[in-house]
Amino acid sequence: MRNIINNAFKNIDPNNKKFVEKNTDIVEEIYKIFEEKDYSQQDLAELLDKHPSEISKYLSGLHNLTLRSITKMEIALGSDIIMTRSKAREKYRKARFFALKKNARKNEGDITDGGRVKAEFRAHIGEDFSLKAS
Amino acid sequence: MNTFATIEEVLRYEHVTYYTVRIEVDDKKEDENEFEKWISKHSQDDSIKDEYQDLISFLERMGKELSAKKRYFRHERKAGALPPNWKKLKPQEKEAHVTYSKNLRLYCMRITKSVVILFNGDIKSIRARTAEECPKVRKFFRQANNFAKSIDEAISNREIQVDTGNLIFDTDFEIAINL
Repeated sequence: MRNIINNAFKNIDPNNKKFVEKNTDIVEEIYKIFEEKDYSQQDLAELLDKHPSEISKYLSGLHNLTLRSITKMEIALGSDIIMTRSKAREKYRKARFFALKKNARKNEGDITDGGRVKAEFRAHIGEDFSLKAS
Repeated sequence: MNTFATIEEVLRYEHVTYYTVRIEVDDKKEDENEFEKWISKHSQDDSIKDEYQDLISFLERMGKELSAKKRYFRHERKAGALPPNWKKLKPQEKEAHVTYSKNLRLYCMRITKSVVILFNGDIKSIRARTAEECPKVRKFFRQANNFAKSIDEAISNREIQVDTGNLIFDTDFEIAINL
């Protein structure tokens, strides 16, 4: 009988799988912006002049968000939620320094951890960037 | 009629372990567990193909990457006042959660971000405002609440223990239910 369940997950339509992946990526990004800006769903509802239940539906991970509603949320939040690859490349190519102050402090007194973070960061950004830890 | 249910693990991912329940009537276990019944009933229904596929994809996505974050679960009774204010919900109201795409409901119980119990569900009528108002899903909604209540009690009295990503209970453990 367990085959029923295994088959259900094995036979997921790639279109639906990709839809949910994209959708939840967007939702998770919105929650990151909420954290950064200390916003809540209620705040977004007020900014968009919508009922909180409508925003909850937007953030369910299964709602078919339109580009127009994503754009409205971007304007309301003052931050991009999605960005094309070429635009992201253009935007972040200009960045020369990344401050790791928060991480450095977090790992204060733990040299091994601090060193590991530093090494991983270098490995990710390559030689075009410098590390500015303060 | 003595009705019991056993809990069984159905899927284990890196971030979430999914369990379900299997009903046992007069010592006879049903052929399908509750989640299997839900799949069998809806997997071939073309009218809800996307809803069904989205929900399965979503369960996989939570398991593989997102974990079962509270924000992805709704409380049906509070559907008119989303998002749920968890601090204001009574303990029994926190028990049965629902995840759905449009009208297809899959009732479940989120224990932690890494343990979820999946029950059964159906297609909620668009005319019904709440689960109780819909003759099709009402049965599964009540059933889910019954399961959840019994499981919650078993967790409280430590018949079921919740470890990271695991429910720990005796192999002969059964929950008594009123269906």
